[in-house]
This record gives sequence, structure tokens and C-alpha cells, in this order.
Amino acid sequence: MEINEENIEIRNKLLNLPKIKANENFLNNLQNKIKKIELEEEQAIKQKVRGAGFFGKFFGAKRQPWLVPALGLGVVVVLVFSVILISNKNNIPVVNEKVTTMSKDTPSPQSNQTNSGSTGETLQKDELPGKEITEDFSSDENSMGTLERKYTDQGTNKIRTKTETMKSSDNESEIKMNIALPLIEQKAAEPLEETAKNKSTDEMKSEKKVIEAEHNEGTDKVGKSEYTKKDSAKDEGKNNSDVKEAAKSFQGSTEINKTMLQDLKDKIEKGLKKKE
Amino acid sequence: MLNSKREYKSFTDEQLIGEFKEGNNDAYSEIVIRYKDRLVNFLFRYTGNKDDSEDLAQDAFIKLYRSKHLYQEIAKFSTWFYTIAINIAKTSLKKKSRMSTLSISDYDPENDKDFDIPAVTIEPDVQANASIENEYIQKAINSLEETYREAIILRDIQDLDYEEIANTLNVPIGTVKSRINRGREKLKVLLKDIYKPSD
Repeated sequence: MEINEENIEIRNKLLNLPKIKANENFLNNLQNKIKKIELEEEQAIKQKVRGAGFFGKFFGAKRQPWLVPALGLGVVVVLVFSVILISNKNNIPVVNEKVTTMSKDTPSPQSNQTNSGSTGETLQKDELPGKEITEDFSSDENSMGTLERKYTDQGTNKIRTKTETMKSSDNESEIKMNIALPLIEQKAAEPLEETAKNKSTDEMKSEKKVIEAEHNEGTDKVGKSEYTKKDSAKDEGKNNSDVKEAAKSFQGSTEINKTMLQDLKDKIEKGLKKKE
Repeated sequence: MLNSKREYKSFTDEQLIGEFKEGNNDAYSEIVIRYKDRLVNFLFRYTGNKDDSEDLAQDAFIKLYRSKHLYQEIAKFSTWFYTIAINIAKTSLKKKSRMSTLSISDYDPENDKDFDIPAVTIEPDVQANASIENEYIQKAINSLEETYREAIILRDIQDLDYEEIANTLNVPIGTVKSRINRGREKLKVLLKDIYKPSD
């Protein structure tokens, strides 16, 4: 206690020191500071509610450092894949037709052969006239293989196949056109030659001329040729049954060949359209 | 916002903080009006700088505004509030000591004098002016150790009782008394030539 009493003067001196007061603007300054703080808190709450946003996650204050390089890497990967896909699309051509080897995919044509005229059985699909050439046209252009064609031999009414090698996908349609027409024309010409042997030379010459004209002009004149042939035969007074029969069969064969031609042409055109 | 109503002037400090915790900002205004001068004076004596003392006082009030929910009615409001103020002042002094040294010439920029730490002996024929005396005392207080300084200021400047000082500093009362006595002795030595010892 003596210590305290000895030092009471110091205490008194300290107590008598002038009291420092706050400035007059102390309250206003404090008010402004509090308003600022409240605004900052409201903005912080709003930002929390909104979330960082897409760009805020990468470039904001609360960004995660691994996101930016990961995003860059992802973009690069996507670009690479897109370039690869586009380049592959351009290199691969469009494939619509398939080349199938008849020996593998379809049963042998000999097993399907029937003499429709003799047995009277219903024709199978492959044997129907005008449909001898089957789905061989719908073949892949890229698949290089053999093309087997079916056709009916009009003389024997038998279905025969002919193998052809595919040279290139671009020229496939041309090859088909080039091959088909000569074959059909050739086949159409064969019955002409056969029947011509059995006929008289004069009659055959006239008939040949008419038939050739019809072959060049179209099927509309077939009927006329029949009438002209009949009239000429009647006028001349020659009713050779063999000649008539040959003529009839010859006419029928020409009609059949024409229909075959038409069907072929139609199919080729369809095939070309599909490619387009 | 800082407009105190008349009815709050009769409230105690504990009642005011209770009102403020319930969302009544007028009670907060009354608390500011009551404590702003005391707080500025305390912080000025603690730091030795008036500008800093006002900034620190505002920081203390802002902290009170934001952490009103932390007050518990176990202790007095003044005790809790002085604790906040002391912590803020200590933090500020630590920051300043890291950044730069405080120049004594800044103590009184108006007079443009270079002040030295007061010497043990002062010329006897020099009569101490009150303002100069106060400056010497303030410098002597600033030269005390932190533990003695805060005890001296709370007791001999703020005139708090030993129990309140013990609760504020979170030390026993005996420790408070010993710190106060040692602080006074050191001040006495520093101000020896100004204050004559009692017979």
C-alpha cells in the first residue's frame, strides 16, 4: 500500500492529463463506413446466390487453377477429332450398290431352272421374263468382284449366267450399260438368225426389214408389222404354216427382246438415280 | 441511423447492447455517443497518435456492430468493449512496428521540434509548460512496456477498478496491482525531475 501511496501523485498527474475527444465528423465517418460494409455484404450474398458464373469459375477470384488448362486441352482434343472426322468423310465414297457373288449369296441358278413352258409350273422370281437380270445392279462400288448376270435363252427357255469382272466403281454403270445392251441385242438377234434360215429368202428379207425398222423405232409398230406380214402372206396366197409359226415366234421374240431392253434401260436408269 | 432517442439515455450499457442485439439501431447510436470520447482518449494514450486513435476507435465500433451477437451478459459491457479496443490497438502497433519506425518528430508537427527521449535529468531552471509536460508524460507512457502501459492507462487514465481491469486483461487482480505499481515506478523514474517525490 505504501507503494501505491508513493505513487499516488503519478496517478493524480495521469488523471489530470487532458482528455482527448473525438472529432465532430466521427459519427458521420462511422455511418459511412457502416453503409459501405452493408453494401459489400449484400453484394457478397448476391454473388453467392448467383454463383460464380461460367467465366467466374475460370477467371474469377474463386477460380480453380486446374480448370483453365483442362479447358484448353479439351478444346484441342475436340478440334483434333473434328478434323479427323471431316477428313474421313471426304475420303470414303458413298456406297449404294453391292457386288455380290452369286455363288456365295444366292443359290445356284441351275437349281432354279425350270421349263416353264413344258411343266406349267409357276415361274420363280429369277426366271420371270424381264427380270433375268436380278439385284446384281445394286452392288457396292468399292467391292471389286465378279458380276454374274442371268438371262434366259429364248431358244431353249433356260436361265444362263454370265460372269463379268468389275473394273472400277466409277465406270460400273457405263460397263453395265455397255455390256447389257449388246448382250440383249445379240440375244435378240439370235432368234432372228435362227428363224431366218427356215424362211424363204424373199419373205425373210421383207420381214427383216420390217423388224429392223420396228427395232429402231420402237414397240408401237409391232402391231403393224404383224398386220403387214399377214396381209402380205394372204395376198401372195402362201399360207406356209411353218413360216407363219416362225414369224409369230420371231415376232414374239422381238417383243420379248424389246421389253427386255426397256426393263434393262429402266433398271439402269434407276441405278444411276440411286447413285446420285 | 445514428440518432439516439431520449429514452435510451436512461438505459444501462447492458440494456443498450441487449436492445441492439434485437435489431434496434438507436441503441447502437447511444452506445457510440457514450463511448466515442472515452475510446479515442484511451487509444490516443495507448498509441500516441491522434489520427490513428480515431481510426482505431471507428474500427472498434464497426467490430461491435458486426459482432454484437458475441456479447454475453456475464461480464460488463465496458469490459468486453475495452477488450476489443485493446486487441485492435495491439494489432495496429504490431503492423506499424513491422512497416517502419515511428519518428518522434511526428509527435508535434506544428512546433517542428525534434523531440528526444526524455533524459533522466532535466535542467532545473526550465519551467515545464503544461503542454510540454503532458507531452513528456505521454512519451514516458509510450516508452513503457506493453503490459505496464495498458494497466497504467486503464487504471490511472480511464479510472477503471482493479476487477474490471483484471477481466479486461484476463489476468488476476494481483497481477493487475503489481503491474500498475511497477508501471508507476518506471514512470516516476522517467519523470523524476518534473515531479518532486513526496516527503
